[in-house]
Amino acid sequence: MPTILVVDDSATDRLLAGGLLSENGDFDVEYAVNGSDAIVKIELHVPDLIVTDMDMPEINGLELVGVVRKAYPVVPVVLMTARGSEELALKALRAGAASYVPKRQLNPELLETVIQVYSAAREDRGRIRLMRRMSEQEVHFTIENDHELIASLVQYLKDGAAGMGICDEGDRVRTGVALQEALTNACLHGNLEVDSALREVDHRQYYDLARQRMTEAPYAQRRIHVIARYNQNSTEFCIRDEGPGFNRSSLPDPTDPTNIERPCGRGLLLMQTFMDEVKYNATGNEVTMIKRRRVRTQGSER
Amino acid sequence: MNPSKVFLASTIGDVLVVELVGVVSSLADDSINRELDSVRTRLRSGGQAKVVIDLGQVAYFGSSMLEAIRAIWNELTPHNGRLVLCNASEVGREIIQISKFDHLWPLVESRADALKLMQA
Repeated sequence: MPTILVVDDSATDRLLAGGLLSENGDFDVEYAVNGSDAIVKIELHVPDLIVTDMDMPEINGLELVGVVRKAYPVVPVVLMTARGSEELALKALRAGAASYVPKRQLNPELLETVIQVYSAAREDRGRIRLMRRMSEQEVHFTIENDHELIASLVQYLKDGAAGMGICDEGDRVRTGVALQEALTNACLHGNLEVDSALREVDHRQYYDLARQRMTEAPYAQRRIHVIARYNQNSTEFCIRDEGPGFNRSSLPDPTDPTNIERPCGRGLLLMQTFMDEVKYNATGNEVTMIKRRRVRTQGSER
Repeated sequence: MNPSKVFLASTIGDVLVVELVGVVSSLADDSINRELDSVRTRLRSGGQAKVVIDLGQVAYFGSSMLEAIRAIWNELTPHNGRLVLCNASEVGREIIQISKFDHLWPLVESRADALKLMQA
């Protein structure tokens, strides 16, 4: 029978939530009296789902979500929110909580929400377990200079890295940022040959020229080629455009205080910071970025 | 009028609060550029010189979003305006710090803190 850990420093609310789940659902319910107690209980026995209050002393619901997402990424967390904790709840949802139920509507919404989240998590868990047993994968894409395709490709590639357990949630996001920057560079600077110097004068002019070239020869015919290689230890993304290439050393250093307000070079800086290795071919029209596996944390293999 | 995809602007006192409600993947997206232009026009016509950028709804952003914020900032500089960032996620905060934009604009925890700072 799946186990649910109910965390609340209010005994009344804790027992109410636990009662709703154990009496009407097919769940074993365990209890923790606050966030710290929850962490101890989770270490002793990892539950299938956690239901937690937001406003608690020592470790609040938001902090508990952070701990669980990091150490037990496949265990979903459902929040119980009281009036006044909406902003905190929003942060917790952004930090990875699966759902929330207002405390004044625990009956009947809590059971319904927990069943939905648990069912979805069970499917996800199966997929995650399978993906983590994949030893190697290589995918190839050739795409047009289309920002919607780029956004979808970023999503696909970063999810692939996270799915194989190469990176945690934070690094999945950082990988996405680096991919977005690299693909945008390949499109705008590589294939469409729009010069960043124009952006310093007027960003609107810069993007108008990009849009114009998306329909003009030879720019429009150029493609972005992407190869992603995933294995158990790392992910390698190779992104090549069909433009003439560029000289990286010609860009201003965006971290130099005198260049802070200039729009050039910031994307490359984010790529270099968020990936473990970034290298370019001699022409400057191909970048290879590598993200290596972090040391696996407890519970992530469940 | 189309609903905002990225920039949701509202006025609190003499401060224009711009809430980012979607990710700017590229400013080559004309609809996003139009939204950005509408915020800039509002600043120009309203003469407002104080802007709070609330990042609470976006988990992350890249250089395109930073460029958009910089474009808003450019509207403020002729009037000695002020811009404050708030509610950034952990990765969002990292991105701002890596880019050194926290040297240019204060980055605070909540919208309330940002508004307080504006009144200081």
